[in-house]
Amino acid sequence: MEKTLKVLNDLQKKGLIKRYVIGGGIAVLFYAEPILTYVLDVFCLLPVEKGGLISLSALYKYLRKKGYREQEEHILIEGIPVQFIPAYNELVEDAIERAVEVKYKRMKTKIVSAEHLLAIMLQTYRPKDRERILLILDEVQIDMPYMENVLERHGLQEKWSKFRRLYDEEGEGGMERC
Amino acid sequence: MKKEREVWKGVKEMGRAKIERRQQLAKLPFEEKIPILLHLQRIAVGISRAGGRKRHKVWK
Repeated sequence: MEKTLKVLNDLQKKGLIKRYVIGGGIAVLFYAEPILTYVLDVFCLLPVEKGGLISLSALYKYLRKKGYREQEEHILIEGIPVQFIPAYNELVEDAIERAVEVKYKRMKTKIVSAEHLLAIMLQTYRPKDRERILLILDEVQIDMPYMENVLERHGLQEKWSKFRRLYDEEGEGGMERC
Repeated sequence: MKKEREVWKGVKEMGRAKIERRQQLAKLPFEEKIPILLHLQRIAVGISRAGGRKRHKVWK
């Protein structure tokens, strides 16, 4: 993991990515109990190429030269499948801008804030996202005013209210699960 | 009826204890969670392979 993070930091230093932030299952694991995941999801802001294009090709070319191989939609960096996800909307851009700096052993890295992570999962809303939202709400202290602000800025308040209604009605314990 | 109520009380107590345990796990440092993840991957990959699926690998 440490070596993988070093490679990510090097990519940023070399300007192949402008900024990156860890999201997905590893971000959930950072805030909540350890959960099973096989991929390190990396949201990134990429430099704009000539002609205004944004592409992962320069990044992949560099990594291939370094000996890292592609594996389905991932690239295997120091034994860890990494998926680079270019910032695809304003919420993800915001999550990258307001990321939290953390350390893994001696390596500095950035992780999405718990509030942005919840908002992104609410937006993608796959079954595993809903499961993970509940996990975080059970186990993590969320800054609700900040979260409300994120949801409002990205038009997710109504979806959040629906989600709360749906799961608050799930029995006596409200959103608490066993 | 009384017995049922007592069993239910016990079940609720167990549920509360499980939530507390999970909250304790959530507070572990990042460095300590990664070895747990690798352990989970080893278990899951072992089960998948036994079922003939080889899609995932344990991180090195």
